[in-house]
Amino acid sequence: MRKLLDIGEEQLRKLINEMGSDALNSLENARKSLKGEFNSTEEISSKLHLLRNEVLDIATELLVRYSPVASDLRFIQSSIDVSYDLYRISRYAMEIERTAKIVGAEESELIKEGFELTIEAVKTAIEAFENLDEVSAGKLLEIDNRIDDLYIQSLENLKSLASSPVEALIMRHLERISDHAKEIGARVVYVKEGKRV
Amino acid sequence: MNFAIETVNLNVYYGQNHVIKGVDLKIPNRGVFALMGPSGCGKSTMLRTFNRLIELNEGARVDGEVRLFGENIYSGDVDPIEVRKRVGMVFQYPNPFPHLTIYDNVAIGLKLNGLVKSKEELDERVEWALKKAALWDEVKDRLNDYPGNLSGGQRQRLVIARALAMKPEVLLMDEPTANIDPVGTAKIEELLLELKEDYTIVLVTHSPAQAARVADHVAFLYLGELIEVGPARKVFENPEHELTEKYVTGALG
Repeated sequence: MRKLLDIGEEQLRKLINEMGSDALNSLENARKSLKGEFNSTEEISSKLHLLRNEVLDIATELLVRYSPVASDLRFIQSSIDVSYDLYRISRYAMEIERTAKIVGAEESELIKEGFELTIEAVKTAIEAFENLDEVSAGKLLEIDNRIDDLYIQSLENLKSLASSPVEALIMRHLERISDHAKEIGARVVYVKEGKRV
Repeated sequence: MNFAIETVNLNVYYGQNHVIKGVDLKIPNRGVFALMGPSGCGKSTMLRTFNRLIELNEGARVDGEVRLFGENIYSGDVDPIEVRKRVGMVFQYPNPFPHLTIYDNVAIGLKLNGLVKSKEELDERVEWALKKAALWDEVKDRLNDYPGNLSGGQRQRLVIARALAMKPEVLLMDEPTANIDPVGTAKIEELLLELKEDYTIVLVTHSPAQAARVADHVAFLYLGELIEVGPARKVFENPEHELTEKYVTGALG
C-alpha cells in the first residue's frame, strides 16, 4: 500500500511541476505582450484548468483509497492548494495580456521591476515546492513585500497622475501573482513542518 | 485535571522480558483514547494493567502505579474484583456465553453481583444496556435466543451491552473490530462516538486509520515505550516523532 500511495504522490508531483512550468511561461508571455507580442496565455490558462482538475481527481482518489495521514496527508492537501495557486497565476497573466491587447501598455520602470520580481517569486515558489525547501519560503515573503511596495507606488502614481492607470492595473495583477507564490511557500512550510504560516 | 487513568512509571515484565518500559500516561475522563502500535509493542499488555487483568497471567509482574480517578489500583488494600467492576473490558473475539440467552448474557453480571433488587429492575437494566449498545432494536423480539444466532458484529455489541450493564466508569476495548466485517465495524465505531459522551473508552487498535476515525487522543507505543501521545488530530496531521510518522504512514518496518 505504501508503494501505491508513493506512485500517486509521484503523479501529483509531476503534474504540479508541469503546471509550474506552464504558469511561468504564461507570466513571461504576459510580459512580452507589453511589447506587442501576443502569445497564448489563454490557452495555457485553459490547460492549467484541466491539469488542476486532474490534480483534484488524483488527490481525491488517494484520500479515499489510502486514508493518508501525517506528511502524506499534508502533501496531498498542499498539492490541491498549490494547483489552485498556479492556475490563478496563469489567469492573472492572461488578464495582463488581455489588458495590453485592448488598452495597450508600455513597460515602465515600475512594471519592469515588478515583472522581474514576480517572475523570480514564481520560479522560487515552484522550485521550493519541487524540492520541499522551506528556506525559500522566507525569500518569498521578502519578494512579496517588495512587490507590495511597488503596487502601492503605482497607486500613488495614479493619484498624482504621474503615470497611466494601466500601470496600476498591471501592478495589481502582479501583486496578486506574487501573493499566490507566497502561499505556495507557506504550503512548503506546512508539508515540511506541519506549521500553518 | 482529573484523569480517568494515569500511569506513573509503569513497568511490566513477563519473566525476564521487560515489555512495558517506564510509561507515564494520562488518559482524560470521557472520550475515546486509542493505544496504537505494531504487533508486540505492548499495547494489549498495557490495557490489561488498567483493570488488573494482567495478574491472571502468572508470569507477569507490574511495577509502578496505575491510578483510576486518582486512586492507585495496585495498592495493597484494593480488591481487583472491585476494580474490574469499575473498568469493563471487551476483547478481540466476541465472547458471549454461548449457553446463556441474549437476555441472560446481559443480566448475568448483575445477578451474580446482586446489583438489582427486582426482576423489573433487571429487565429495565438489560433493556437500557442493549439500547446503549445499539442492539436493542435488533434483538428485542428474540431475547430468549442464543447468541450463536447473532452475527459477529451483533455478538460484539452484545458483549459491550454485558459490560455496560455493570455501569462501569471506564471501558477497555482490545481490538474490538479485528474480527468483525466492515458493516459491523462501522456500527461499533458509531457506537463508540455515542458512548464516549458518558464513558472513558480506551481502545487498543493496530489500525492507525481506525484510531484516526474514532479517537480523541492517541498514544503510540513501540517496543514497550511510549513514543508519542496527544490529540488525535495533532498526531495524525503532524506527529512530533519520526517513528510515529513512519508508523502512521505505513513506512515502519
